[in-house]
Amino acid sequence: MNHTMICREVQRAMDSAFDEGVALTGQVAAHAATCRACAAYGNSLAALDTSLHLAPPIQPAPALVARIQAEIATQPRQALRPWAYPVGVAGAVMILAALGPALNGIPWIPAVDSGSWVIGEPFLPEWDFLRQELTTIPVGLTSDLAAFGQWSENSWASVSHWLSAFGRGFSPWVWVVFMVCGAAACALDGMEWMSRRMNRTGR
Amino acid sequence: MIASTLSMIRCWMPEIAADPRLASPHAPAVVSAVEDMSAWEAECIRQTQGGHPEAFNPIVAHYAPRIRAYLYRMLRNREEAEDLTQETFLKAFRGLPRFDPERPFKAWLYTIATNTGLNAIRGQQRKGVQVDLDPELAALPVGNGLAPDAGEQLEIALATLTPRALQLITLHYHEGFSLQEAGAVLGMSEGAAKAALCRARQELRTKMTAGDLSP
Repeated sequence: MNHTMICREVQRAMDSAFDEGVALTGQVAAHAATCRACAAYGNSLAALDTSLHLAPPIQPAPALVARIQAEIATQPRQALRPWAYPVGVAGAVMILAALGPALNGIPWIPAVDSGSWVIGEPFLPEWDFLRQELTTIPVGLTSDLAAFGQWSENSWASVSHWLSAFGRGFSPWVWVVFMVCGAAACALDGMEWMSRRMNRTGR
Repeated sequence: MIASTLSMIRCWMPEIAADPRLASPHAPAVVSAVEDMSAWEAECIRQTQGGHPEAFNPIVAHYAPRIRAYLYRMLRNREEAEDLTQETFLKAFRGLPRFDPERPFKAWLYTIATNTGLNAIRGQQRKGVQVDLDPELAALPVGNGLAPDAGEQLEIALATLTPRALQLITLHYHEGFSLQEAGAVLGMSEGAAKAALCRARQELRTKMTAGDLSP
């Protein structure tokens, strides 16, 4: 390794030492003691490091602090977390959905003839068909499909019954109040957004 | 109620006393600037998030002078630095409900200040605003063992750095951020921050070789 390469390595090691705030290793210090260029490099780094650490003192700024605090005091309160709005709306809908039908005595699940859910039990009466060559749809499987169709119809009937109960459960005023509350929330949110925009442009 | 009031008082009390750089501005920061998020700071943030905007006041009192100094160094314009400091705190206050208390607040605040300052610098560049050197920035503490004009030379050299390099130097040397923390604020890895700092220092050294900093 020639002298220039050694110097480059030594100066890189000096850089690292200043980055990490550690003392120079023995080898680096020994080289710097004999090499004028590396010694000058080290001195200039040390002087630069010292001057960078000696930052101008931070001046207190009471007027600025008061100004910012006064500005913050005019900001709208933000007690609610961002997720509170959707959670609150969803909760209100759930409560209304639960209260409406319950107060009107409407059953949640329609009376369904459970016997009609399963057609032609047992589904797979003849296990022998598994040994036969499959040329047509087995009888048992056809029964299954029919049972599944019936189950789907019953489920949909249950859901549509619940939905109709949800609609029938309320007085129209409940819907009016609900919509007014929603509109008021949107208006407040919009006003807050407008005030933020105006504050920003007024700076 | 009483507990809430007591915690609020605890929150307000240490605003200046806990500030080592205001008490002794020449002392370099020896502990990690970001990890040193004290209990009063966390309490203030929690209370502000809980709907008490007045709990944010100690945070403003503690950080506003620093953020102003940071932005002042970037922009070299006192009025604009103060306006942007205010903007930084308003952004922080509005963003506080989304702030994760597990994250270091100081790094978050400085990230907001950095982005606010960079936007302003872009605006200055578009408008072609020429900024002059400020004697306040060039005033190094007396008795520092360096040449009398070292501060001025350093300031001239710093003024030629790119905004990113200047921010890195300021965060690392003046604000006490470690390289990892400063890199996180500026959106770069620790390795990239180290390389950028080395380049910036090299650039400073090269520009200052004309004037010897030694006494």
